[in-house]
Amino acid sequence: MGHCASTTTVDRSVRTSVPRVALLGPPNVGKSSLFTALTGIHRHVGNWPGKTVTLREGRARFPQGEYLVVDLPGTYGLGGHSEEEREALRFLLEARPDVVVVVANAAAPEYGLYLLADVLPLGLPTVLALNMADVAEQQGVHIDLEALRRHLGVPVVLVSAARGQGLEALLQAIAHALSRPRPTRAAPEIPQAWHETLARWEALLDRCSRLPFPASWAALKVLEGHPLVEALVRERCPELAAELQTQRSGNGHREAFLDLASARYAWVQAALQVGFRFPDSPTDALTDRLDRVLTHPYLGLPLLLIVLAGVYWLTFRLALPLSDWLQTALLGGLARALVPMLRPAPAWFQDLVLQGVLSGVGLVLSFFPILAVFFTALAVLEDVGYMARVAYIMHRTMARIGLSGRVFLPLFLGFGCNVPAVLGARIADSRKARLMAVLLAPFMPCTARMAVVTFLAPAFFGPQAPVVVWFLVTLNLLALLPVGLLLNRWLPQEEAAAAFIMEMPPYRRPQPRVVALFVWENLREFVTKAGTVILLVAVGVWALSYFPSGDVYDSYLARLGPWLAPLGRWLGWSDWRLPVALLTSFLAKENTIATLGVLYGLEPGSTLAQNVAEVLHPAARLSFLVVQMLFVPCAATVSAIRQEVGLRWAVFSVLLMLAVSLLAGALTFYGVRAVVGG
Amino acid sequence: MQRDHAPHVLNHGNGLRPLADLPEGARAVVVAIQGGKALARRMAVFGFTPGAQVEMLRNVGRGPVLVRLQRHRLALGRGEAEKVWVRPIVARPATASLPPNK
Ligand SMILES: Nc1nc2c(ncn2[C@@H]2O[C@H](COP(=O)(O)OP(=O)(O)OP(=O)(O)O)[C@@H](O)[C@H]2O)c(=O)[nH]1
Ligand SMILES: [Mg+2]
Repeated sequence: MGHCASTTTVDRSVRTSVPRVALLGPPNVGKSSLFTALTGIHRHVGNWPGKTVTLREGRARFPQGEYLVVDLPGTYGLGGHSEEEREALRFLLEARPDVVVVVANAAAPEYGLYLLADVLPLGLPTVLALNMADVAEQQGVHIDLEALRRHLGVPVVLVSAARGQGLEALLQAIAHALSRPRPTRAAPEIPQAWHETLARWEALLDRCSRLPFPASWAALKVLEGHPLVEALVRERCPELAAELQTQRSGNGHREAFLDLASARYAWVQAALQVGFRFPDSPTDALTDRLDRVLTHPYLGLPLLLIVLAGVYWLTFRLALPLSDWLQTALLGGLARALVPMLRPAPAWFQDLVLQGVLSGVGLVLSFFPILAVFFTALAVLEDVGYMARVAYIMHRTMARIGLSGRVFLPLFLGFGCNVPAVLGARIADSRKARLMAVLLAPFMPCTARMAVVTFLAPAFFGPQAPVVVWFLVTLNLLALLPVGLLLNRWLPQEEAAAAFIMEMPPYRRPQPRVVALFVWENLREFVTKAGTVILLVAVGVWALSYFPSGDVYDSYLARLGPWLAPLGRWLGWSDWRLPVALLTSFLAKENTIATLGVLYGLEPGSTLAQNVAEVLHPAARLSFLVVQMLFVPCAATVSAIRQEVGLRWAVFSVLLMLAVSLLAGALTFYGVRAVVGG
Repeated sequence: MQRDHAPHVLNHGNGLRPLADLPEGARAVVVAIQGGKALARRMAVFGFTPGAQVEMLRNVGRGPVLVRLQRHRLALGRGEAEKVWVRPIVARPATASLPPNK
């Protein structure tokens, strides 16, 4: 294999001399895994369709040459039905990759081949990569690569991203495609009935020389009624706009699209006949059996709740003792070791280190075990394939607030962290659904909030702590319903309600590597956050609590107290330190603890949570936890919301959460006090 | 292929029924997709094109259904499943051929 760049016709991509290779394919076929195998850059992988929602580019260096590899969001076609499909198509049209690698699942290749049928008319150099070779082999699927190659007219390779097999052949195929700028054979036959119309469109679009794609392809898409392509034609060649409008054939698009889709599937069937031999009973017996139980109409939802409860139980059981140990033994030891070393330093510096840095960041780091256990559980659930079932189970509930079960998946991610939940909302099929998912994401009890709650609850409620935590999580989830209902009613209706149609991947054993990677990535993100934002905030809060006189109760922070105290009293919190701590949680949820740590100080013999518990009525303890769980999204989430749907909605989200949390907190306080007295 | 605007063709009288009425374990051949442009397109992309064979895996009379379409397992909202018209395949042990659907 020679050096690729020298043999290509890359004149249209002027931006890079290194050839750009796009990984395109249906969801969940292993594009991100392949991207990782090629570039060494890790991306979120897991067993449910729609994880990747943004483009990512990485360099792949090999002895044979160098490529820029782009990992695209999964897409079933180039029809532009959802945000990620549009994003993939926009990339193909605007960036014009030098090679498109269509990734298909070797064990279930229909959707990948359909996409190939849709891509071929674009006339880009194309390679078909059949991934999951290991799965296909294990299921007894026979694949005749040579026959497929001849039939399709593009290089076809068998790879296993999981095992790193076939990458060499893939690189060769890419180089081969680069040296031959056009696929030798075009895509499926166009049904006879549309030939005439198509020819008319093509003649019209031929007059537009500024199109970034062949007129024949544009004609096909205009015939199908493709909004993105039509818009591009109108933008590049405004002189054709009028004619485009008059020639539009009313409802013809629908029929054209259906006929063309049928033709593509007929083409797919032919390819399957030529190149694949499947075992007689292709069904995955294990998946069928598990689905009988896990998607059961009566058992499905309770099982989901049990799974969730199990995750929290594990967190309590495994992580909390470790977390306590870190806090008392490790931090206490560190403090004792530091005291003599700090003796020569000025008093304020001693206080800064011992109170600000140690009790702030140290406490946050003691969340480490909690997050590690939580992320592990989440990663396992994801990799076994349970996530897609969660969408199925939740569909009926989500449909009540006008959303599809698919939208629950990014929300489910929100159990880990709200930021990926907000970003993941792109998998929604409509603008309204996406906006709703973005606004609902902060209701998901993220691990940072869970860490705060699991930290405080045992001291607040003793043996009842797990029940209280369970109640808090349920409350957050229940809050989704009325808020969702209101948003659904209040936001303008869209003409087409979102359709729910989603692939259910087969169940399989979780791969330790994938799980470990997921945990590692998330923990690293948490630590970098703790190391920067939280350290700064902890020190900042310490400074506010120390200056001007060195006495907390005369500090700047304490002067905030009187402003916030009435609000706190309304919620039953007799102590001004609580609303202040809550306020600092805006920067990062974990700050609640860090700030409390600074304000209450470390005392030998009792933990921070106990100190806080002492000053609060049980009803106020509960209301504090309720408000904490529902309080305004953290700074990172707000900035993600702004990035995704704009500043206006970010502000709206903050106000919404503020209102909901205070309302829920007040209701809790007065409700509980009325019951238990006091 | 039957058209959306010929509802008289899509009725239970000629052996057709919505996919949503297919009992668990039954198989059928897709005949047509009703409904708006957006839905019809989306369904077609997922392989619900005339002539495609589906098997009902999970249907409890309410809520979404689970079907098998070729080698793919799909969850489908009830509303969507009601818009896919199918002709059930009558299990005849000897001849497992498909009835013509055009
Ligand atoms: N057995 C096996 N599993 C694989 C292979 N490639 C990927 N997987 C697994 O398939 C699942 C999906 O992989 P991803 O790389 O996330 O797929 P994707 O195409 O990026 O998915 P989306 O981003 O959702 O479109 C993950 O659980 C992977 O570990 C493979 O070659 N063999
Ligand atoms: Mg991906």
